[in-house]
Amino acid sequence: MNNLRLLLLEDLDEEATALINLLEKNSYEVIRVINAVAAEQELKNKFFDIIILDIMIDGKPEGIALAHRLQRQQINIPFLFLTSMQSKAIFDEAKLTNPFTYLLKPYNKLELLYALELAVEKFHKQDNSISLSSKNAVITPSYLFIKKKRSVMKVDIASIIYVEVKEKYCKLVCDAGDYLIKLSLVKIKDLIGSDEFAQTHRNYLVNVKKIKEIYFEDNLLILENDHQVQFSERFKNQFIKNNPVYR
Amino acid sequence: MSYRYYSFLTIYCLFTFNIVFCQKSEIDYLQNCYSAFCNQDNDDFCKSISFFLSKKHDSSYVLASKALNNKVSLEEKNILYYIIGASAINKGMYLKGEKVLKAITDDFYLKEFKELKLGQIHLLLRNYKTAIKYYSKWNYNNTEDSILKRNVFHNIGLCYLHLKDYKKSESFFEKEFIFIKKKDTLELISYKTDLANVYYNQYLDDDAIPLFKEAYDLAKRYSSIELKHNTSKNMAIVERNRKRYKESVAYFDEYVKWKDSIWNRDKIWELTEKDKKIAVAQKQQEVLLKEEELKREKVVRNGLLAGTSGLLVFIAGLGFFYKKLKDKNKLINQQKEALSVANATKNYLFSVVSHDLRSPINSIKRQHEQLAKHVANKDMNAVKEVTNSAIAVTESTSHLLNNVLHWSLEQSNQLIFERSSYALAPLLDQVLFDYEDIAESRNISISQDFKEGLLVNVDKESLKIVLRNLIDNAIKYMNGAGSIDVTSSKESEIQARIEIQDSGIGMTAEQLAKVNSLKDLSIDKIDRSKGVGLGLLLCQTLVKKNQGALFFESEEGKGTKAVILVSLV
Repeated sequence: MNNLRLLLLEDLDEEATALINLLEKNSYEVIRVINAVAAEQELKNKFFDIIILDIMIDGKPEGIALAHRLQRQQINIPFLFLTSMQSKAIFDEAKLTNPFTYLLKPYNKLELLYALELAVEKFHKQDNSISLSSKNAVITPSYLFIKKKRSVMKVDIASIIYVEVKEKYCKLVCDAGDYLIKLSLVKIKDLIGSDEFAQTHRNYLVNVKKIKEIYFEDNLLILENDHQVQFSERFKNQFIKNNPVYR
Repeated sequence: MSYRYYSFLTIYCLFTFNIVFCQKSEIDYLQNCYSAFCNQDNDDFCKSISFFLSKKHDSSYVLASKALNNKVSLEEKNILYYIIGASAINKGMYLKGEKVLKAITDDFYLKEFKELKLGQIHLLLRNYKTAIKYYSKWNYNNTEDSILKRNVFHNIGLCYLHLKDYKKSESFFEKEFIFIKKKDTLELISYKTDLANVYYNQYLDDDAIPLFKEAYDLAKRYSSIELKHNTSKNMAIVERNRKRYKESVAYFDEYVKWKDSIWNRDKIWELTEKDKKIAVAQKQQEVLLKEEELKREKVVRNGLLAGTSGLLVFIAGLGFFYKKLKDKNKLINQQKEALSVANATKNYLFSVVSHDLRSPINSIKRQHEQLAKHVANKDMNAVKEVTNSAIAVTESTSHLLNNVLHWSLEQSNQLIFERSSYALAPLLDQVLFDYEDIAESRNISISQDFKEGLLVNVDKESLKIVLRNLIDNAIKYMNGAGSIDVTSSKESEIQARIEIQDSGIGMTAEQLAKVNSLKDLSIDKIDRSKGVGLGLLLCQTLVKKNQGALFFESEEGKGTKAVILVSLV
């Protein structure tokens, strides 16, 4: 389970310190920059999960300019504005860059953390998942975003043991716990790729690397942590074809 | 010469009768033939008969000649010959007629008519002797037919008259006279004229003149103008020959008169024809006139139509402008109402500022003065005390200011209001988070129990304002320590329920009624002196704007419960 890496553009030390304190306390890895040039430098070197932008940097609206540049360069990272600028003109201009939200200082700590959650789930087009319940998760090709207390964490997709259909949700069983995803099994299968995951049943998608034992006769798979998953005839044949190692 | 002349006239006149009588019996026969031989008018034979019967002699002549070329029976041939002959006589082609009639065989039913016709032809050709031969032959064969016989006698008489054989002529006229019925004035006149001619030509003036006179007198009483004309002419000539010029002139005048009337009669016929033509022309004129009138009517109608449509367009235009004006007036009225509401709001806000803001600012000022005094005295305990109360006053003032700001924004439609779907629990969580410190400092415990997974359709900021106001009130009316329970649940399939229950001083029934009636209250009806707070009014307005509901349940001394209902997604 990893922390989310966050880029903070904030020129005022005092406010930056308070923000970093809050974010680090909630398991975010924060890298703070004091101007747009430095921000772009950081974005080139490292991967960030989310960005918080102040608008006025040294008396110039560098935050919005940076957002425009990011949009042009098609750097797809969710970002939000956190500013004390209340002017409608600025607000309208900022809105053109499609931020995930526009928060005003002084900020409500919970609201800020909640806004980060919203940004993550909206960015991956899975609205009202982690923001609605801590049992939910947001799934991406390489990571699983989950909620832990008031923070968002990411889990490597490889830690998923298997996926099971539960009514209109899918239950992800991981090393760390179980999460619900508001997507169909087919969508999840498409999203995470079929190399490491194999469908064994209409309702089951199994992480191949987590398989311990297979009982073809009994149509049974034993996975890590003693999880048991069924085989169905249709998917068994497919499974054998795709995984000759197990023959 | 003159005798010849008038004699010829009389002959001609009678001759016409002859033809008429001849035709009568021949018509009967031909009609019989027609109905016997012909079913339809299709072949030339039948056509020629039907044309002959309808006296279209040209057509009957041509068609009969044509029909002869076809194969026809002997009887049909005879009939055709007869038709050709009769038609030829009628057309004045006497020689041709004679030739054809001679071809008719003797066993023909109309054989006797053949002889009559031949006699007629020769009479007209002035071959009087030959004519007499045919007539005598006919007379020898026929004894009974009185009308035809009379005509034959008459014609024979005429022939002898022309041959100047007056004795024979007279005897035939006498024979004719036997057949004349006494009452038949017409025949009597012609008979008398003929006889007079016979005598006159023999210069037997004494016998002739009374007969002329007799004929003249009879003609006078008779209707035929031609007879009057002839007899008067005869009398004029006779009197002139007697050298009685005076009488002659009188008769001549009469003759001229009759001639005029004949001429007039003919003229009248022409005139009527002309009249007819004129009438037809007039009718045509009228028709043209009517057409013209119709055209004019059409033009008028079109004009009317155009006028009417123009008028309609004009009225529509008027209506349109009237509506526009009305809309404008409506808009003005609406604006007026909006203005009066805005004015009321402004007045309300002024009163809030002057009353509710002035006193806390004053007390803050006082507290600062005290603070300065305590600092000078270095009385740290007093400083702490005053500072705490100053913070409380500042907080409530800032809260009031926020409400005033939100209220004025809402009233001037400047409040950003955007309903969208939000998870309810995090929203409540965020609002309560701000009160953690205050509650702790006041010994108030805030408990929360939120149903997870409720998605509500609200404007986030306005719901937060409402929640803050309600929690502020709960804290404000808490007498010392207490608890506030905030819960959220599903009210129905379409609504979520948020409850804020405090253990404060509660409200009297009267206060409760007043607070609950706020949802129907508008700003211009608020009585400031009764102490209705801006906060609750703002809450009601914003909840209503979110299409939710806000109401209170309270019991004095036991606390108040505020309930908000908002719609679920």
